Amino acid sequence: MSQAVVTTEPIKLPRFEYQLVRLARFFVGLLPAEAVVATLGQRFAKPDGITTTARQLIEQSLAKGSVLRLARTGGWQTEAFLRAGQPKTGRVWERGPVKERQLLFTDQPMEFLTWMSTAKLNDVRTLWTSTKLLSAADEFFFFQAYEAVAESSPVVAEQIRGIKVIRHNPLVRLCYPAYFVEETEAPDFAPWVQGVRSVMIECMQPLLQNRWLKLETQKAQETVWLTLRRKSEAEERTLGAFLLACGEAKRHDLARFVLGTAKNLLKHTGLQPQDWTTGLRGDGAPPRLAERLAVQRSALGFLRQMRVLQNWDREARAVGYFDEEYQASQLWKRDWESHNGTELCQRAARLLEQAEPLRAG
Amino acid sequence: MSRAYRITLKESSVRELKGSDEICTQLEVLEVLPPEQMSELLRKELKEKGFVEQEDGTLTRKEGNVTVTINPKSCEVTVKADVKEEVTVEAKRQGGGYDDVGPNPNDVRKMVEKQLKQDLDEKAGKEGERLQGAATKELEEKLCELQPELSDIVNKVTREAIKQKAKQLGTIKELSEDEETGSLTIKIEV
Repeated sequence: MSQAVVTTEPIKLPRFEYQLVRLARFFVGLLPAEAVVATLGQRFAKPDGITTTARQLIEQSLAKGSVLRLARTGGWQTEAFLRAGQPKTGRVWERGPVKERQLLFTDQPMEFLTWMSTAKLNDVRTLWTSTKLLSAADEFFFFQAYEAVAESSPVVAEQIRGIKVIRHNPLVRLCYPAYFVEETEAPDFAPWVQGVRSVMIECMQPLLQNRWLKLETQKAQETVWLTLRRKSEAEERTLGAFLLACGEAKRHDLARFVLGTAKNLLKHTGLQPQDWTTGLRGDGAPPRLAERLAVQRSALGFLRQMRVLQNWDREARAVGYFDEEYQASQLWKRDWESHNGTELCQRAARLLEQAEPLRAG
Repeated sequence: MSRAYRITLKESSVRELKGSDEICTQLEVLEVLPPEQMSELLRKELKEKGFVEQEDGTLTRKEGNVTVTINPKSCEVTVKADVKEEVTVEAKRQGGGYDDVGPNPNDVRKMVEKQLKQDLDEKAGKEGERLQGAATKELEEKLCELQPELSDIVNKVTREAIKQKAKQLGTIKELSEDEETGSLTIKIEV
């Protein structure tokens, strides 16, 4: 952790360093977008080095901002999550020792900030590449950086999307899967269901729920058939990979946001499969029924993933009192029942069935 | 003194064009009996409905341009419409020039031939689209007809499976079936 900069005088920084500090604060949510967005993409002259004061300010901003962000997003909520197979209830800082949620940054965020302030962002030949192994805190920083840019400057977001640490960042992909349709492989979520990364996922449950609800409801606004199919397939691929990782690590509690999303999404009983595809233009429809059906089926990908949760529920109900996983299964059953999981799965299954042209059985 | 000339070419070609469309879906058969027995019951019922068993174990039935294929083991249904037609496409093109200026007659002829070929391909493409549309329409119509028939088959298979299950449980004392409502009541003595 960096040493705190304590001074009574206003700190004076060179223009370049001031930009680095502003960017860092913007990325971690300590500065509003309006203060920085106009400078995104501007190129500053790079000095030979950075002063210790600026470096410390940036390190402090990243550390405090990231912790604050996690706490505000969902860490403050009294929730139960698994620790070594046992449910622990409380706020995130009450659920386990401080050691398990320490954020350690490498120098990669600093390098990225420097690149953002000096490079020609729209030149793919000069895209920044990280050569080092990223820490959990680094990955969370890159997620925050992408999120901040995506919400305020879509053009710059598109430019930095090609950077490997953004493109292969599981958190970015989990929150913005539709922007990565060209990535045929889902990211590896295995590290994100254990250790400090899993604590981050716990904190991010409300954010993930909102994101996925938005993704699902936005499908109805898509007008191009092929685009809807590609986006939906990317979303299903990503969610499927995340659920697989949760299942393998026996961390079903980390997928609580999926239940929350489904609860909000399926609250209206009169939903039809066409509600996911109402925006599609009739004149752009593929001529073949097979292609039209493929689009309709892909649009319902989120509902298809409910089957995974249903299987988890069956497994949880088969766990006996003397089994090792009893406490974990009880936590899952509590989540399942509080979200009315069985009914949600029935509604999802009904919608999937309605989308089929032959409903025999 | 220059002389004008005109080259007119007309060509027709007979092409075999195809349009196809297909959908794959799943029959929802309840597992009243073990999967092998359920697939056997389905196979039997499908044969009664005119499906023919193939070497790979699937059962198919062809009606007009539509082929329905059912795999009794996986319960996968494929409905495919293939429309084939021999179409004659015709095109006519003209080109002209002057014998002393501009391209020579051979070049003009080549250009007209090229345009003619493009016209023929374009017309064939349009015919192909028409056949594609016809295949899709035929498939959609067939699906409407097929749905009640497949539901009927699945219901019969389920009823038969329930009867066999009842026999396994004990002696059937009373059995009543209502074809209209699809209800089946079995009284067994265990």
